[in-house]
Amino acid sequence: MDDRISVVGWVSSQVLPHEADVRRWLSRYPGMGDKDDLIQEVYCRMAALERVDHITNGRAYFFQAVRNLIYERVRRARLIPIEVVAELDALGASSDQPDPERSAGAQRELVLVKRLISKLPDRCRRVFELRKMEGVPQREIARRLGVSENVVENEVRRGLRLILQALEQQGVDLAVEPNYRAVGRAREL
Amino acid sequence: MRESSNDINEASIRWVAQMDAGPLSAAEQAQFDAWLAGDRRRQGAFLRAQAGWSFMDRSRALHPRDVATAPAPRRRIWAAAAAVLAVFITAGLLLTPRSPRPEVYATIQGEIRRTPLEDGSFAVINTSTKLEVSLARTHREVRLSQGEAWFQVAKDPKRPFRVEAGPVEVRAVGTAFAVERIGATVQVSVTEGKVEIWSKGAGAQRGLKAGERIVFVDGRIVDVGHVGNRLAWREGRIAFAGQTLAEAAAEFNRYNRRKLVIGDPELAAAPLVGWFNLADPDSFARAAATMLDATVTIVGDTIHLDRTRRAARLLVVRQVRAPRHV
Repeated sequence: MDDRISVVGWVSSQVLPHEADVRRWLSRYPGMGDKDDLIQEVYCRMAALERVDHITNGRAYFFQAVRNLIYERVRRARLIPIEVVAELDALGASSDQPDPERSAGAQRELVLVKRLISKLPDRCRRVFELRKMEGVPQREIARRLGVSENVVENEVRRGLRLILQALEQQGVDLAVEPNYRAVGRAREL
Repeated sequence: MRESSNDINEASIRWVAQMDAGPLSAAEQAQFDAWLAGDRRRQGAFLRAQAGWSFMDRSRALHPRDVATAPAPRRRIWAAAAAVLAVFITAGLLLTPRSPRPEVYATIQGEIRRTPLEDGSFAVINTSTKLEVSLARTHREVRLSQGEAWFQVAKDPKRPFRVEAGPVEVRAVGTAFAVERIGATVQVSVTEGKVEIWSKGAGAQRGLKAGERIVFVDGRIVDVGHVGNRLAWREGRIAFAGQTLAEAAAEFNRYNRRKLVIGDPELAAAPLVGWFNLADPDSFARAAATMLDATVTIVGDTIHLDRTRRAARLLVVRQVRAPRHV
């Protein structure tokens, strides 16, 4: 039996923080297809991994997985000449190396998480503080805040949506403050 | 029309939030399984949403004051602090070193509590567990009276983290491991890093590293093996990889008021595989019944599993015509 928990944990600390950089790299090649589609497909392949302890560099793995997917699609479509593919390879390899100033160590991740929470809308922030910082279950949060469990679940959705969007757009770059207004006028529930 | 990736992300977020609220009912689980299987992209999106949710766990080392949004005007803060300081000095409290009072944690049956500790460590405490945590300047100590807890220990070389479970003592500097104590049996499982274990009955100290597990009875080593899926309870699940139905039922009964009873000794010895939600013995019973050809009967809070009785089958013999050679 594979250890499901460690795959999610590995993705959350070794892969997700690099998504913004992968998207930025992909935007240089608009002919590669829909970015969201490509990235979802890569996550899908990761979901099928049985173990992740053999992967030492999540960032490199992520970039390579995206490149492999592009090669496959290019091969299948036969639309792009081979020289372009080689160029892709060369440029992509340099993006593999994280900027040491921006690489997320545990301390930096903590600062980022602190910021992500502090910028959430009021009630949403309170729910995240109780749920994630203090480990209070949703039902109990509803009781403490005097709202229904549905409301709490909605705030969890809202916050998670905002956080994923922030990670997607800004990654773990501490020089950028999360700006939730700019990200996603997604339908509010 | 093809579902947009935005729709898929929204649905994934919805599922993560719902699963966080509590275990899924059998119907909801079936809905989720069907949704996940409906489009390949959903698996990736769901993994990503789970990872995003898990990413926020890092905040467990923060205190609410760390994320205060509106900074109070500076002058007011200093004045208030000065007043408080004055009171403490007058009362002599600042001069007396405080000895840490142990913090007691006790969970009820079926409760799995995730809690940060004051030193930045994190604990997940299993069902029916009682433990005491003392965090002082020079040491950090946990006394486990009964039950099980998994600790992710914040690195602090100046303050080793010690868990005492009867005659067994586990010491770590910055690592993650679980200790279980039930009666005279103590089990230690390491998920990250290394720990050192002392035991009154085992002679010299022993090291244990990530992926390894050791079992003591009355302080003597009786088994050494792998961690495997033993710690799935932290996520509210149990995994079986060949354990008998009897062992599985006993595990479920630890967590639930609703008890599983296996009527047939041969059935009880049958091996099982699978991952289950530990708070849902009914779903488990139905799954086991399907796997092992058993029947579920519910009487109040007892879930009975018995071998299915069948009427004697009539064998129908069909005459098979010999093929003609053309």
